[in-house]
Amino acid sequence: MGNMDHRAKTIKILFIVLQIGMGGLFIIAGTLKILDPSNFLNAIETFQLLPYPLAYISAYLLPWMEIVCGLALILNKGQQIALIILTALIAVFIIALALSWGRGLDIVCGCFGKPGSLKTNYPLLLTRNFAILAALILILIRNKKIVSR
Amino acid sequence: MNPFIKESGLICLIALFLSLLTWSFHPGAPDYHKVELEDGEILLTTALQSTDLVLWVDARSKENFELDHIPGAILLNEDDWEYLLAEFMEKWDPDLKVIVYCDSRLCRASKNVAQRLQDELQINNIYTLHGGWETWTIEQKR
Repeated sequence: MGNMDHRAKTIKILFIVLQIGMGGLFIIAGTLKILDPSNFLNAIETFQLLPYPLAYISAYLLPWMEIVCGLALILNKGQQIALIILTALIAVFIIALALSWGRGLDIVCGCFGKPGSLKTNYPLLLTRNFAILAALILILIRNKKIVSR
Repeated sequence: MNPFIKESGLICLIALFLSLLTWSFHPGAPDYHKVELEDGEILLTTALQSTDLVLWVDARSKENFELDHIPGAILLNEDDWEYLLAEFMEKWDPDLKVIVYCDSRLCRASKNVAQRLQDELQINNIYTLHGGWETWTIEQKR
């Protein structure tokens, strides 16, 4: 019984750390983007997916969505909807990356602000985004289980 | 009201409000304008992101070139074409991406130089820099 409690406690702490970590990650990502919206707009344009007006709006809105949702995860307020929004965002990023890879584009990720001058490493970017997606879904499922108990 | 709708609405509203604040007050906020690239033009961002080796060609006047230029750029304008072309040929290599620039998006010197290089030397890996030197200096100040 004691072991079970200890295990449950450890898992609970791990999920809290994971949720705060994810929150922090999105706050950093959003902040780096919003510090230089011009650069992020250029990055969005290299994907050649959105018409200019939508790319322009996204250059302002996406970073703040990341920051606000990241804060929601850290503060544990409205975290379920924040997780759903972030999961949807990451899924969209994954699709956009895959499409660009398929079209052979040399895109600028812009994921964490100003990029280096290295050639787009699609496998690395996709692996990273899938890892984030998996972490978000794990937290989402666990939180849902707790709520439905 | 469904709490999910309420919470998602609240998150979107906060993000929208902060976006509007950024748009209004951020000193580096981009202006709303669609960059229309002409044939053979390249954006500075794209040029800097390119993994190809770039040979920058300055098509402005010699005076302006001597005042300042993109690091590594060589001078090639139509004022002294034959002489400068020989210098260009010393630096040029078929593997290099050639990017020609002039003063701003309104000048045509870069287009003319690029056209001549294409016609006379059959160089195909050649572009003109959108916004020219003006864009370069703005980027350096940011």
